[in-house]
Amino acid sequence: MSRTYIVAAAALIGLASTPLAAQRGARSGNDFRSRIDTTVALSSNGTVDLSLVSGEIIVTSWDRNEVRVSATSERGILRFDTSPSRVTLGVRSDRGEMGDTRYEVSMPKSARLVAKSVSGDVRARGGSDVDARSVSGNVDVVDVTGRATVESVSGDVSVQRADGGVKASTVSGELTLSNITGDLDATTVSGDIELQNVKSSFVRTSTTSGDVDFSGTLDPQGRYEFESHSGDIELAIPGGGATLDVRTFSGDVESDFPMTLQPGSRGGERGKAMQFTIGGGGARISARSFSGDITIERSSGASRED
Amino acid sequence: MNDRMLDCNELESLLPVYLEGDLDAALSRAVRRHVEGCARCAELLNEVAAIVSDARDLPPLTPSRDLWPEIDARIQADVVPLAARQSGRASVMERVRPRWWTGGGGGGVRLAGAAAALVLATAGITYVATTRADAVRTVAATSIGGGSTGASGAGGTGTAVRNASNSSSEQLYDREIAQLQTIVAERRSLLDSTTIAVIQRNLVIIDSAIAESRAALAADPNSRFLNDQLNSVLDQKVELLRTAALLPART
Repeated sequence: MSRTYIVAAAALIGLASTPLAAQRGARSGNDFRSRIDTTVALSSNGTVDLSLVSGEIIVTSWDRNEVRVSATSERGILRFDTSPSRVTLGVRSDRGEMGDTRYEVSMPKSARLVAKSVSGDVRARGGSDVDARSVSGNVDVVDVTGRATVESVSGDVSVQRADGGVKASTVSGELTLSNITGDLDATTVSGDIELQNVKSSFVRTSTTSGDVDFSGTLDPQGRYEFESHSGDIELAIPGGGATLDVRTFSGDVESDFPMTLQPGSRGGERGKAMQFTIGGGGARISARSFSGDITIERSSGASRED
Repeated sequence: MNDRMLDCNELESLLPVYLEGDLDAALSRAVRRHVEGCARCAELLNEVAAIVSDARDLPPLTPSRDLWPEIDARIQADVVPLAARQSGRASVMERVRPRWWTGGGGGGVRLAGAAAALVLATAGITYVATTRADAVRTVAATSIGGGSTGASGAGGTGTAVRNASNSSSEQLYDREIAQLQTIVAERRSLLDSTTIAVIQRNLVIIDSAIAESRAALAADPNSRFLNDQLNSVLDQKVELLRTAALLPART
């Protein structure tokens, strides 16, 4: 059975009944504040769905099969739905007014998180699968045991330690993904893409004018595709074995590894196209930039004999 | 657990598998039970089933490479409808409610059918773009939410080479971009002006990249690399417009 609570600042009088403790907040000038402080049960693999317009979403995880919610809204109407498998918290305007809203939520560490904001920041730690998005706010996600889907238009996006892959995108914001395991897909238009310590068998990056930096291990069966129209591409890779396809129209290509041109490869005024192998081949790497430079570096620990 | 009742969101997520016939018996029964009692989901089921049926009438496509990662990414992404099949029943605005903003309760139900249509369409675009290396795409690059979508508009070069065999892909790009621009124009007043400015600046960046790619391609029309570059930036433009079309309102 699900329960729904609507907390309207103008309608609340005193404390609501257990389990939801909702109260009319302190009045400051003409401002009202609605508030929810409660803890509800949620199955360990349930879903926590949070959305707001402006303000902040902060999520942490714990070992309990419970969700603790502390939410405030300056002028909006909080809506709180709960069932054994899903907790939903949202806010809507009251007579056209909203103000800032702030959620602090603790959820089961294996729960799924959906967090959406228009201009507010989203910060999340933990969760099995995390879907975190903002239009102009920053999105920071840490310690995801499953897949992370993160997105912002103009805000920066970062993911640290995700074990089930990452799909990340921004328009102008910076993308920073570190310690990622699993498939990785990162796109921006003008934002830079920085990938650190990636352990994946499938990596795809695409940006129009942003730079791309990659460091990580290579799966011999893996595919790694890096693309930027006008940005630079820097790859720091071990020498364990890879086949590289490197192309640029007007940029330069540099490599710590010897580049042996294969049949069909070319280098000249109208573009550079090089295919070469490292350590006998293996992982397939494609790096393409129309006008940016492409640099292939030997990552620390890579053998000189490669 | 498979005998439990499904909610609308669960049904929406199971629908593709159900229509493929890959859902186990218990969940299939749960889907049928749900649509018997939910008019909206019944309508969704009918719409998606019709799309799947229409898709079977499409000519067979044989991708030159594994498209699934991109298709999967697009399934996960927010999408907007291409097909005009719903015209007369719902306006563009109604059809393109920002799915990622709706907080559940079936708010994005109608979009699921549109999502399937777009996945088919974009898969077709990807197929064409990745298999016709000698073709040149000419798609208009216009300012956000407005103006011409004619072929000569992109990057302002006016020298793009048209390839007759590629006209269908050009039309797909043209149609998708035009529809997305229409949607963005309709929603513009609802969106944050700062965000619109960011979108606009980045469209300019992409249009510049389109122009550069076209100019280079005009000098070396047989370059597969340059063709791929052009296709890539065109796809980026579509993605950016799609993002803009699906932005949640500022309030």
